[in-house]
Amino acid sequence: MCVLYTRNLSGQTQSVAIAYVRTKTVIIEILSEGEGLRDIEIFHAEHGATAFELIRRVADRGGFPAEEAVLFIEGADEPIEIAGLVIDEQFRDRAHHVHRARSLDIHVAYQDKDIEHHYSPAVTVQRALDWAIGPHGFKIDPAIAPEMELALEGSEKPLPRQAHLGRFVHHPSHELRLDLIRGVIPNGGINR
Amino acid sequence: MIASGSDATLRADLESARFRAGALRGHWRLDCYDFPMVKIAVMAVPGQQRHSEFSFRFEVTNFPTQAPEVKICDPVSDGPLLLADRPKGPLKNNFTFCVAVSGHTA
Repeated sequence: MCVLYTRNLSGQTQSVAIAYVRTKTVIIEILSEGEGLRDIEIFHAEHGATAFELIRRVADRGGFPAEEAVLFIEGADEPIEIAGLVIDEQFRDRAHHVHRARSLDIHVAYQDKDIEHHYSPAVTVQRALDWAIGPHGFKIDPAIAPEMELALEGSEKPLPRQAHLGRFVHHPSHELRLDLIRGVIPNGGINR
Repeated sequence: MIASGSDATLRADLESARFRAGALRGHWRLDCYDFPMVKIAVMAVPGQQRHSEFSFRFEVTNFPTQAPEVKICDPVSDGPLLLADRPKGPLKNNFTFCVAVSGHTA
């Protein structure tokens, strides 16, 4: 219990007893990707801590100043407004992304063409791939579309489809150059 | 009972961010784990298959030195899945991903 001294409207000091219960600290496990991280990771923050605490932890891990970074929910086009936002159970239920860029210029090359689109760093490789092979991209034949992958420019190694694009971009560059490639066909994976 | 190295490795993988992210995204879920057997349900692409998910049973003795032996199974009877119920079409059309346990791709 603690005692709080207040002053009333006529200037008299009053004492008000406030009872409180010490609550157990609840730690929330939060999945996040971010600039400078090589994979999705688990971060821990106290329930009730500010959302900036999550940004700070990811930024520390990624090696950049937290003050310059913004927080995204996975797949979102815009960052979250963190003013007044505290960490609660909802943070457990989704993956996040912390990056210094709000938007990335994604270039995809295929054969002799290059197309461009803007995505947030929290967008997955899968979404960029869907655009690149689709009607607004290279209009890949549906028969071979499932075999297509995105790779870093000049590489033949497909990027993980669930990786966030921001993983491959480091501020101050906000550009990512990718190649659309035909991936490996798994043995026995052809239409039966 | 002393946990084997394989058991410990697999438990670490099931607790990994990558595995948990896949579960969070609804790509797969851990059905049951009783070393050396682990059953994981993998989501199918909606509308393309007779089932919304497929159940895989991994026998993980000597994992990761030895790759797991994986069988597609009937989630109810736990026996082999009938041929008619098995996924059809190119592999990448059947699942939202290829089954992977952390860094150890199966």
